[in-house]
Amino acid sequence: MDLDTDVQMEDAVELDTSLEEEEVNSTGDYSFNQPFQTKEGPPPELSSQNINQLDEWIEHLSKCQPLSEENVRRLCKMAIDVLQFEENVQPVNVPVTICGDVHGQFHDLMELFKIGGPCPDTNYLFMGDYVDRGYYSVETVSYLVAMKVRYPNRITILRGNHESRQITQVYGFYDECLRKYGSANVWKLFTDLFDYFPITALVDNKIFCLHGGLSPLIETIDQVRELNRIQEVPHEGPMCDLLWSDPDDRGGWGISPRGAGFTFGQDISEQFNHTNGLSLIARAHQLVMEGYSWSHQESVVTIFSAPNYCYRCGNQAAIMEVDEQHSRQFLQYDPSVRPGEPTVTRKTPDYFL
Amino acid sequence: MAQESSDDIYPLALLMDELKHDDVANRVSAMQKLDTIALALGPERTRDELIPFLNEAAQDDEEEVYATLAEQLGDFVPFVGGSEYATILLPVLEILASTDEPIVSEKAVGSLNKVAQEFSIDQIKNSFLPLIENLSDANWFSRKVAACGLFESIITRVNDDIRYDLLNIYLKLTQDETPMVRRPAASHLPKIINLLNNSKDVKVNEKDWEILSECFQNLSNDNQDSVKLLSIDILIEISKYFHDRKDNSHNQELLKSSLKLIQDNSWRVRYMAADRFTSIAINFEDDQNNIDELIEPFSKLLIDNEGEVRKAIAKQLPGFGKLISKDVLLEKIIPQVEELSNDPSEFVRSSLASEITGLTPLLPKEVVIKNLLPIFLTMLKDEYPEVKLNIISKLKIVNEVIGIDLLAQSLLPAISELAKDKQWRVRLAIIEYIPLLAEQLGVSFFDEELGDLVLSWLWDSVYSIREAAVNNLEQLAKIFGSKWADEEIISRILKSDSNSLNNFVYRITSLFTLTRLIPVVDESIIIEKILPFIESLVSDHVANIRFNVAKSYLVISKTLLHKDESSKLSKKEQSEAIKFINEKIIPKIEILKKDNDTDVRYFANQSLNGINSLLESTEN
Amino acid sequence: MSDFQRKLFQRKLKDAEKALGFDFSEESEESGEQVTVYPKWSEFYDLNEVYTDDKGNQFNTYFTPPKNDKSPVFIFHHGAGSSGLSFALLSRTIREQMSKENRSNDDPVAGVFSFDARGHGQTEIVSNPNDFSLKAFTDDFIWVLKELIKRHTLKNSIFAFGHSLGGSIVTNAFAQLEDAGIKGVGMFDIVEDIAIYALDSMGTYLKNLPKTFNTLEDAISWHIKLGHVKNRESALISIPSYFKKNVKTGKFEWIMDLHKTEDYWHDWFTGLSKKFVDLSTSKLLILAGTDNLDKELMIGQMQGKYQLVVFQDTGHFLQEDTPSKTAITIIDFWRRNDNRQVIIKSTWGSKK
Repeated sequence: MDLDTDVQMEDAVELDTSLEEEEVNSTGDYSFNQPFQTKEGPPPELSSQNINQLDEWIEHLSKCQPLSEENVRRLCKMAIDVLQFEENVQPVNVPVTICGDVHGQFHDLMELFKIGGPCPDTNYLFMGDYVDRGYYSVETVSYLVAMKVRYPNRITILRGNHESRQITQVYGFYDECLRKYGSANVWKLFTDLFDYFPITALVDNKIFCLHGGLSPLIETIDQVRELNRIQEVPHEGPMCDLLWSDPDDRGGWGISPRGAGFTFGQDISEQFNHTNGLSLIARAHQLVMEGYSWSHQESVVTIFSAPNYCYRCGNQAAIMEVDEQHSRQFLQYDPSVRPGEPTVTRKTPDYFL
Repeated sequence: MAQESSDDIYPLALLMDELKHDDVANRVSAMQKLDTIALALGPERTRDELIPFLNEAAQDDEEEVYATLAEQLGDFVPFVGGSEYATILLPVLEILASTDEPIVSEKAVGSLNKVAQEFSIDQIKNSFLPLIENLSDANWFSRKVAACGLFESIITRVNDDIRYDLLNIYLKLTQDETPMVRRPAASHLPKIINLLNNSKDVKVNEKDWEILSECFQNLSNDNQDSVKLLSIDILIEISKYFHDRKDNSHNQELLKSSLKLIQDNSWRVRYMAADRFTSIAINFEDDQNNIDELIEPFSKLLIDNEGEVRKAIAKQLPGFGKLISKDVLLEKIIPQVEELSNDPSEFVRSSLASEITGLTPLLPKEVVIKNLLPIFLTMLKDEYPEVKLNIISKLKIVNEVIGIDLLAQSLLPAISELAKDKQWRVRLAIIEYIPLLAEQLGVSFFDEELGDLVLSWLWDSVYSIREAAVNNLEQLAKIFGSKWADEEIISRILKSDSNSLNNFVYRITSLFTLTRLIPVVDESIIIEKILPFIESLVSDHVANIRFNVAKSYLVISKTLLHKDESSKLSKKEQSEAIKFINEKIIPKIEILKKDNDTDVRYFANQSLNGINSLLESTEN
Repeated sequence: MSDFQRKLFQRKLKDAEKALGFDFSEESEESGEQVTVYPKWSEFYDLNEVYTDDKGNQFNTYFTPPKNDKSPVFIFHHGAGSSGLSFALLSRTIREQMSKENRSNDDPVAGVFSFDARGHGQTEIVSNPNDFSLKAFTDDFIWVLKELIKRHTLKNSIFAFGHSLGGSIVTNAFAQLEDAGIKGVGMFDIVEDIAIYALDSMGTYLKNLPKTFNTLEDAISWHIKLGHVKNRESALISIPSYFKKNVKTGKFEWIMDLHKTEDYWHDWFTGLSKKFVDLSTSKLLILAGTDNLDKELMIGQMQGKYQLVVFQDTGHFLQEDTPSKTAITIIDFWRRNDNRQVIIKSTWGSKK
């Protein structure tokens, strides 16, 4: 069923957002050393029929038109076939362009490719948060997943804290699916797929990339490899922290004001980089007005790729190009030009309100 | 009803059942299936059972459910047994049209108008008119709002007497005590006048005009700005009616009303008048004296206190400029335009920039050069990128008037500035303008002024600029020829130092540029210069380079076989080309076909298939 | 559509269903006049004390002390037109929830405190009674809080929460209260931009407000019918406290005439979002319905400056509509942010 995307719908679910956790300080059993559900070895190659199908979908999606529910179902199935072979710490080669939150701002994602170059000619690493808040979460995540399946070696898509069943029910993706498809089926297909997204990436063994930040329960990258990632993002524990934590000016570990994850200081970042032989931690998750921001004396960088976030924050977006010599270049950009779309900041005569 | 078998009542019971569903989406989809249910019941039972049920059901649910019902009913005439029974739909639509949920009411009014098309004159008289009367007479404002929307479907179908009655009812709506009613009364009136204007059957008489004019007078003197501003569209339709009939006798009155609204105290009314200025003025075009009276008010709007008003009137410059004499335009308006180009609001400047070039065809060449060009140049230096972009995107019109030579000369300094603009879209707009300039400037002047610039865009940090730079170089190579391309582009790229070549973006952009030049340069340059460079990248350690090499080989092969050109190769040349491809190109692609990266293998295969079919078609 | 029409339709639909052999009705509506027994404050709080300041202002307060020193004290400030008893059900729910979770006798059970702000409920203001500025409310709140601490010699961690205008008051007060041991601040369903936008329609809203009700039951059902409060259990204790009986007419009149506050509306909310985001303490924002944040709150949330929780299935009075969810959220907020409770355990260094 085609429904107008501008129609406001009632919230269709009852949702308990309370975190039913016990104590923040209890370590408990965080499913270390559980049997892997990921598979090893290279994924099977795409058939030429699938390639044609994918090229068709990508063409369709690039015009910001959503796929049919049936095609989303097929796409997600193909995506699981690819993603289940990826590691918790997915290795990525240079050169690569590293990007932060997108949040359903489809036209700004197209702008990103205009700035950084089209995939597959340019390699991309996205650090999560494709859905929620923006108006085109469905098109955005469908497009990125289709690119991932079509060019698995050219694009890496990590999981963000918004790639979760619980968060998407509050911040828009669920409602958008309901509006655009008339049922929650597509939401279910995508949130089931999100469980397979890798949670971190390692660029040329030097740049550790993830959505949120460090965890007091993860000292080495090998410990990330031991996690069982194929599950809903938990309310606490190492996997939650990797997707939720933020760097902070205060040293050591701190309670995160967000209500999940932790804050970590420069001492922590430096120790982590030293222990793991890293030059940099690249992460997203926080809005930064210039699109990127260094912290901890350049041991951590935050990258945010949704310009004028949620059509009201007035921030620039950025991406980070890392070349073969590991030199980094930041490209900043503004919202895409969309004639006819209202700009929130502009004064309009209110007689039609 | 209770005695009937359960099979018979099934569709209706099913509908009732689904209308009880907790989920709104389910109830909406139940309403969407209404036509199926009506079809299953047949006309008689639809009339006897379904419609009465809907009459009652239409009173308690979410607006989405009713909006769907209201829309469905618009197509229901066949289901109730055709137009003779169509009036049975009125009660339920009346209830829906009376709700205070705007979506539901609008849909119901739409459906009522649709259904009314099918009515006979008698049905209109006996059913639709009473409905309008009822709604208009109600205590509840939403019923009167609905009434306002219903006149348009019948106003041109009724006789003079009924039309007079209808207009009298309408007059009362325009005098309603609440603005919630006067507003829709004002917004539907232009359409009604337009229908009367264009109807062949209706002759609007003096009596009608008395009422219509009273309606307009009421609304244009309304104490609510939000009502008053709507009267501008009514004024335009009234003026148009007489203009269409070449009747100037009411011009004085109409002009007086126009001037009053244009100079209203409320900026929202002035905004509306500014936004519609040309539409207002054009109806007076037959009398230059009338037009002249509008010049002063137009000037005043250009310096209005409210930015929104200036923004709107700036867009009317070419439209109104056409209606006045060149002298007035030059003496009165152009100095004001110059002021406006320095307006404190960037939105006003941007709005001006998007239309100002439209003034050039209205003025003599010398005047454009002397008076307008300096304004364009100022605006090209505006701090707000959209202002610059709006000027650049419309330069073509200016070019047609003053010629590229002059334009180029005055533009060159601006271009060097804009080429480095912070905003990549401004850089892009300039690049896209370069080939046109190149053609006019000639090669020596171009090289001197712009040669380095066009190459430097290749190394821009933004991909889209690099892409546009590649396109640009291809165009320039076509204009200036193969030798120029070799000396000014290819040789310079190939001289790149190894440090630059360490950089992935540098290598891939070089590859893109040279590949794009293949079809436009001489074969010797392809073979001696471009091919060796491409070969050097076959073993590049970045897969993205290698699969683009595979793509380049297809372009080379196509060019060597003259596939895209009109001039055909001789037999001898053909077999030499085939031999060359087999010996020099295919072995390289074979290497790429065994690459360990799947994308390289994929594109190598694509190219190989492409080359093979080229070879086949050549040999045959 | 009027409620009369709705009711009429519902009855007709039922008749039609019966005729067709369907009967979906779950409860019969017209079961006759019900006699309501209104609960008393003492079913929710231990103490109902009047705090009198040196100007003679008398603040009506409700308090249940914390179980022990480890227990936090939650302070609640109601919004404009409401009263301290708007938090009655929430307060009791918090204590029940914590007691339920207790494993031993010295486990914590929070103290809960609310009071009637100036012009509201049974509080009597004698000096400048018509001053409804944010500053006046804030000064009252600070004095009442300090008085509470003094009277009951509290050494516990304190968390302050405010609903609507109350959120603005506790936020405004925090800067002056750092020495009072406030460990966290929470706001319930208040966003500066939305509030200011809504002020435009406040005039119409107040104009349509019934001036009197014949019975308390009428007042309660009016609130429920308009969706102001959805939870009848809470409405039974909160709504009666908004009214006083006019002995002459026998009718129930509003204690607080919101018209008197009109001059202060913008003052209440302007600059709130920035003030909240910049507070140097743990912050919680609970919103009803959707995450309709303004620019300041959106940036703050996306920078991880505070915890945002959205209750989708609740109205504006979220503490009344969904007391359990609110209680769980508050308890969780306290657990995470009370530095007497939290020790972050790290495994770093343990495997070497």
